[in-house]
Amino acid sequence: MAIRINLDRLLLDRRMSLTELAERVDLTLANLSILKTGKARAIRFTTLDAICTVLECQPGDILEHVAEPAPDA
Amino acid sequence: MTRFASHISMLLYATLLGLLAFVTAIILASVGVLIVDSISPGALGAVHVNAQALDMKTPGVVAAALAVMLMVLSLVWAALLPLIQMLRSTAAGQPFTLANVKRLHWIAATIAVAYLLQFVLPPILPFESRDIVKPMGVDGVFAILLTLVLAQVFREGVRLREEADGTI
Repeated sequence: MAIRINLDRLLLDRRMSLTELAERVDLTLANLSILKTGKARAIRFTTLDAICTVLECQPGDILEHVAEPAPDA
Repeated sequence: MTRFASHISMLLYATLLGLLAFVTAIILASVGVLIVDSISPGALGAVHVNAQALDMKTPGVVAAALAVMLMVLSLVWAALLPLIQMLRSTAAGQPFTLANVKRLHWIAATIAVAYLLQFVLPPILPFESRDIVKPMGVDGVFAILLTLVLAQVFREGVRLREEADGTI
């Protein structure tokens, strides 16, 4: 997918574990892992809000759009 | 034991199980009575198995009655068992699965078979036992259509659930 999730870099900068983030945003570790590995199909605004609040960042810090190579390139 | 979210589904579940047990018991008892009575007439006293037609108990009539009863029994199981399984999957929190779409198709097919049998059976049954086949009428067609529409609704439900499952 053309949307990249930069959650691991943010966590590294803040020296926070995925488990701690999961506890503080009230998500299961399994769901947060799905999000981190980019396997999620969608993210709720409430989830995004909670993560941004805990990590003190902007949505743009978490989500990044990467141009996909043309299919026939 | 399956846990139900509401009293209504628990009531439905109990009703379905009760109905299945009741119909099965009635049919099996009738089959038993019919067999015993045909082997040794009068052993059970004056038994009349639910239809005047069976007063003429020729072997052909008895065999036809047995065949129809067992057919009805298998149709009842084929229609009610998937329904019970669907209710259980709903109680487990997973109603929108392809398995339930398949179950609805199966139920529709069962009703269709029962509907067709009412036309197919009477001509090939012995004349005296034709009365045991009760015609279903248009409500059978409506039941088939209702079930098929529900199956499509469930198919869309499966798509929506997959969408929701992927949302974090």
